[in-house]
Amino acid sequence: MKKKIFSIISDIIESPVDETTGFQDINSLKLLQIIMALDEEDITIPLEKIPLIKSVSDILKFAQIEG
Amino acid sequence: MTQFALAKVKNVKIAGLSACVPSNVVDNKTFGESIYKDEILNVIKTTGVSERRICPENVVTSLDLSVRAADYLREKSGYDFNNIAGVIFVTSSPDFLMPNNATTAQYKLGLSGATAAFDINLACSGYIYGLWVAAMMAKSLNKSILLLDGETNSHFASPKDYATALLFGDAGTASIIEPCEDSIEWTFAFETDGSQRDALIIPEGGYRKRIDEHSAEYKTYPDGGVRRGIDMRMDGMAVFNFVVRNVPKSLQYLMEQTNTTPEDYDILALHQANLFMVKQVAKMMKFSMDKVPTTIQKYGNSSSATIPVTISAELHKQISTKKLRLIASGFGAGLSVASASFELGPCVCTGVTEYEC
Repeated sequence: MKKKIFSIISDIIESPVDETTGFQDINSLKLLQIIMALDEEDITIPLEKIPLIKSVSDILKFAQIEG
Repeated sequence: MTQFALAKVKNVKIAGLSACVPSNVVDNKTFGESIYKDEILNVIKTTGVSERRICPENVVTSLDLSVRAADYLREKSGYDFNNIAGVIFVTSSPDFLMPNNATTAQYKLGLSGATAAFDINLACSGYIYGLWVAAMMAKSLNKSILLLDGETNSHFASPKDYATALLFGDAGTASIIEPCEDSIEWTFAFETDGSQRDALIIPEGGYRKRIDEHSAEYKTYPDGGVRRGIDMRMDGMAVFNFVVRNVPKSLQYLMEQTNTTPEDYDILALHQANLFMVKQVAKMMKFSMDKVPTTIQKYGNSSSATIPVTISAELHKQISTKKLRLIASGFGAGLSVASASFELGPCVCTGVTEYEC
């Protein structure tokens, strides 16, 4: 799953990412795009966790696989 | 202590509902290409706003759109406006700082001088506040109340600001609230966090910072937005955080107070902030999307007007013939959340009419 998440995020922010990548320069619209793209791949971030996301590692921590 | 202010009003009903949008359609793919470039389709997908209705600045206002909605409702329903003893106008985009919109609406609609008329300045939570105040007023006056709710937020959303450029549409609505016997009790929950006023703000043009010779100049701000002092500044993440922390709790609180569950409701009517937010709140509240009407795709976010616009556009056939149980929530500037549990219909609902412009 980690590889898939990296790939999705990387596609959206248009640069390579790993667990150390922070989201300091990411605006809220971009973050929502990432969450939506993950959701479409059945990788869900619980709504209440979204405000806590500051980095790729946070996404790895909160991500849940549906289905 | 609960985090919500709880209010209940008995024996009132909505007797009619109407909405009006400008005829001018803005296609976001074309409009947003210069600012979002090749990301435009992703931005449209995330926000949900494919197109919006925009009226020309300094020509058509929230007052015009809402008065037209009221006139259209009168024409289609035959409702006797002589029964109206109060006008409430919910808006954060009035014609003037003084006088208010409601008094002008009283004149334009030819209502009796024996009318109480005032504005409520609230943004996205405004319609629910309007319903609450109108319900109390209808009981107090024992007459009908005309609740007008209109916004032209597109006029203070900078076309060069990544956070707001594509979101906002213009609309006006009219609802008639009247006293009645034996209706279900309307229940409301309110929450306010004024410490976050800067999260969604028009920084210039009021009396904290009056308009000066620089207010209409576009400037680049540290958040990357390019806008004027008289434009809206939105900290999208702060608003999002507030919404996800408080809107589901507010709806849950209302259901506890009314001993209801999602199965008891026909409709969850949410402020059309953006499509992602609407879908996420619905999912968290365990409402299937067939119970959650959306109009942000075609009308954009018209702030306080989105709830009545969405009801008019998507439910007018249903509520013309039957009674629906609704739970609704508006949320935004303040920061503020207002939610309500109530019934709607059968009543006259005209759908959405257009204001030629």
